[in-house]
Amino acid sequence: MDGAGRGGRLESAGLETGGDLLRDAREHASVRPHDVGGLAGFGPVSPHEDDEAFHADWEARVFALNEVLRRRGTYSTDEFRDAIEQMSEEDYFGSSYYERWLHAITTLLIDKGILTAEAARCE
Amino acid sequence: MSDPGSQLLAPGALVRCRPQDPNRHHRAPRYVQGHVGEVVEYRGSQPLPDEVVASRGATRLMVPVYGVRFVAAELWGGGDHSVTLDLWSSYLEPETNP
Repeated sequence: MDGAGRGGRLESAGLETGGDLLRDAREHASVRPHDVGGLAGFGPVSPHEDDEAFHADWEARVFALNEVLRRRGTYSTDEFRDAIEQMSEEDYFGSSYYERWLHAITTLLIDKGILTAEAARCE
Repeated sequence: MSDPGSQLLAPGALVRCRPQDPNRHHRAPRYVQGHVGEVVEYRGSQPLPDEVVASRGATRLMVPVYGVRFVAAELWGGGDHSVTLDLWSSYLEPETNP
């Protein structure tokens, strides 16, 4: 994977040309980081016994929040997946499973005008 | 009631997964794009995820979904097993030159 490096180079190129090159590259290049099935370079898969569905209370809360919002029709599963896929490579690979979920929930609620960006930044 | 999707691709039909725009939401993983598989069965019609996302959840374009079996060695270069995925027909084209 040269994911992070590629993003870095695009950022540098964008700065030098007023952002046009960066925008153009983002529109045309493969910048979605999630589709890594079958790619080598992530190290061995190490199956382990793990009965815990959640490893922290906040993870269960994120899971429940997503269930409620999807069932209420606030957004669809497809929009939820799309929101995760639009994370930057740095954020995607630097986030845990439920951190990605929280990112998607926050992004979609802001996008749909339910949550303000200011409110989302509050602790 | 007959479902038109069940008539489109019969079990045993060879199909090729079309290359997909990597910047758009879809449900055809890169590892099967461009590869030929065999239809196992019709799984019913489901909203095409691409359209759900493009319309921000406003439209549900029902499209037939098929279970398609790929030979693992064809995908990965090794292995004696197969990989079966559910793929919307929008991602598939009949393989005419197997």
